[in-house]
Amino acid sequence: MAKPQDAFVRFENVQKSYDGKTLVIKDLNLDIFKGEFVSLLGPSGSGKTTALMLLAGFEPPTKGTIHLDGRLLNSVPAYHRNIGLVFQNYALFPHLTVQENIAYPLRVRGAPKTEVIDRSRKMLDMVRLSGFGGRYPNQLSGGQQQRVAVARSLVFDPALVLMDEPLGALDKKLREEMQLEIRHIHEQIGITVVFVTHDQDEALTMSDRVAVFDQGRIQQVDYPAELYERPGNKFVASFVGETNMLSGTFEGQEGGVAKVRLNNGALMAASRIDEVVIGARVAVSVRPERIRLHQTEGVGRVAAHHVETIYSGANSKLVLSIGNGERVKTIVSAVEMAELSDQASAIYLSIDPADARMFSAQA
Amino acid sequence: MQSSTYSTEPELRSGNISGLRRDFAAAERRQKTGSLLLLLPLLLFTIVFFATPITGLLFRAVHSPEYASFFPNSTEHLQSSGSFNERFYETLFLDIRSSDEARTSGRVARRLNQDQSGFITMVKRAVRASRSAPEDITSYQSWFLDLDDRWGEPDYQNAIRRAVPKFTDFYLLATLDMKRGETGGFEKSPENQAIFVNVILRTLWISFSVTMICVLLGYPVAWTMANASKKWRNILLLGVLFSFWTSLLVRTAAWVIVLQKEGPVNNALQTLGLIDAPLQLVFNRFGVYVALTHILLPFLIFPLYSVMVGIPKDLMRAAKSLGARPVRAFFSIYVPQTFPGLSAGAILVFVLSIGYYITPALVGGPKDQMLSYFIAFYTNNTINWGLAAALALNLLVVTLVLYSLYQYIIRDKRLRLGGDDV
Repeated sequence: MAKPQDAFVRFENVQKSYDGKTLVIKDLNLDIFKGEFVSLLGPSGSGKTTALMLLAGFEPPTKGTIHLDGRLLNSVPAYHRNIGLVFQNYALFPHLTVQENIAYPLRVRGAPKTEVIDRSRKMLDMVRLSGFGGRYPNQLSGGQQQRVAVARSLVFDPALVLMDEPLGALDKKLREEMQLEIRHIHEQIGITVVFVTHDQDEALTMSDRVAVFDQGRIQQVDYPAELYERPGNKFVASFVGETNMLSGTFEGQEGGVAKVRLNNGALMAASRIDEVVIGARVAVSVRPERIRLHQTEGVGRVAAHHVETIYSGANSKLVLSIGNGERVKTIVSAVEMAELSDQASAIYLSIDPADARMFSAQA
Repeated sequence: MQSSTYSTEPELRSGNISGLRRDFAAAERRQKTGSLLLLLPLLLFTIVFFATPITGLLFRAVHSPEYASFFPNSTEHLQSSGSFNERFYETLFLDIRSSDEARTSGRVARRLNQDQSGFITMVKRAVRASRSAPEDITSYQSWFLDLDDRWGEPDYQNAIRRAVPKFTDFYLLATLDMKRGETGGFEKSPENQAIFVNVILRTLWISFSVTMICVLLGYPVAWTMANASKKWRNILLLGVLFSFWTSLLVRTAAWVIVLQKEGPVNNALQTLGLIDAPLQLVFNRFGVYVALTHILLPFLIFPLYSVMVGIPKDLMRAAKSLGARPVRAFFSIYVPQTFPGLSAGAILVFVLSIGYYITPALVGGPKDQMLSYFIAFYTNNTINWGLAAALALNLLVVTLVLYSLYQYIIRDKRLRLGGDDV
């Protein structure tokens, strides 16, 4: 990753309050580098869209600074920022045709007519809507409207493109198609993209880096794989991807491995992430696919009962009970499933300490 | 399951298309009958209490049966020979006598008088004279001419000829300051009768001006309302509604008080030293503009507001993010979205003001009276229902023509916007 001074977009100690009482964004520090695809991921009300609106220039930050390419943005109006923006509901101009919509940013910049026609046509080709220039937005499907919105936000060669949950209104299949398409466009023209979403799958598949927001703060900024495999706190672990949160008590450290007494009495080894004192309540996060199943007893294996099987095609989800009301989800392939179903109900599971991440229960 | 699928499919495919069509038509019919029943009360009400009387009234614009029904003998003569000879005066005498008994002479006289003034006296005198006329009149023509020379003058004879047919274009022509000449061709009405074209143009101009003033004043109000916080939106709505709910007469009278020579406006201007003598602010065109605008403004604001509320805020943001300055974004993106509400409101204001009666009648001067004033005048004062109906028909036609013209322009504009630049 580039050095901090190379940051293309830089949020520094940014705070935002709409009513003067509560902070929607508490303390935002974020560097985004040129050509990066960064997702702002978080539940609704986490401040991710507000961060985007601050960057787009529709809201002034209450405190702190925002720089774009070394230029202080705070007092630059939205229409001078040269930032493309794709809205969740597309915000296409209904009284203009597709071509006119795409040509709009060029026309307000006073581009010569031939250039306007030329570039908007190229853009239409890029989003594969060549024959649709004369149509009105309401004559297009949701996916097509989305592509027009993307084309319109790119046609004026903006320094940066912001996308505010642009795929939220599309159905699953179309959304996946559009994810790829946006990704390809990003690779093709190498533009910096800031992408807001609440869908963690979307964030993980599309982004170079993901910033996880919660309660007005960035919880973690990292590469998708890091975020998923090595979440920095309990919120990130549970928000990004599916996980098992096992609660227990911290009983001390032994050779780099934390000992956790689970509620069912079993002792479990985990990686210590948060600093906690002995005896503190902790939560241990384990991804379902990291749980190993055995049919025989052994050291470090926990006995479990089969509760429920959820079939979902390629693989199945198994819900197991490990006593004291604690339940664990695992994912098993069709082959493993076939082996298991031959056996009696006794199942033992084991977890590699490296795959179990221990957080303070308060966080 | 599968067997039933097999059994129904061939049926649908081959033989039973007509059966399907029949079932579909029956289902549709049931639905339509249902909705028609719901409409029925209003439909009946409209037909009985609105459409019928209006049609009946407008029919009077072309219908003038008085002469033909009450003076049948001379009507028959004029229709067959058409000359004002001795026979004509004889039949006229018969008609005058019988109409005296039936007490219908006055209506014929009034009808004739509408075309050519003087007939009321002439007919009245003839009726009175006919009561004491000798049994053996040798020349009816000289009997009439002795009573009044005008019975023999072409102007009066032509007026009679024009009154004979049961259907006439006399009233309609009069509203356009035209009449039939001696030979039956169109010609301009004499200067002193030619007032209606002027009135129609004045009515259109006042309505147009009021509509424009309403647009200029109402647009910012509607915008503020649509973009205000909920609390302020309600306050503003109430402000508009409050004036809307106040009685029309009260509001009109209030303007007279406010604008009169000793009224607060003149007082304030004089106190401030802006004027030396009070200005004439009411009983003239200015007063009409002020009062009409005030009364019709809500009709512009509400449709406009309801459209503005539905315009997504993101559109303006999108325009700005694409590089449009606020003013440009407003006119190129926001204003076009408001056209449906703006045009609905403007048409409402225009159509309402084109037929407005009470306000111009109260706050306008003699030169500011609009068409409705004359309709009321001919209905109530001179009982010339034919002319009143013709003026009303004229108003209706002008309104419809302007409306279709407007529709055409708007459609054209949309096309132009659609094909602009690229």
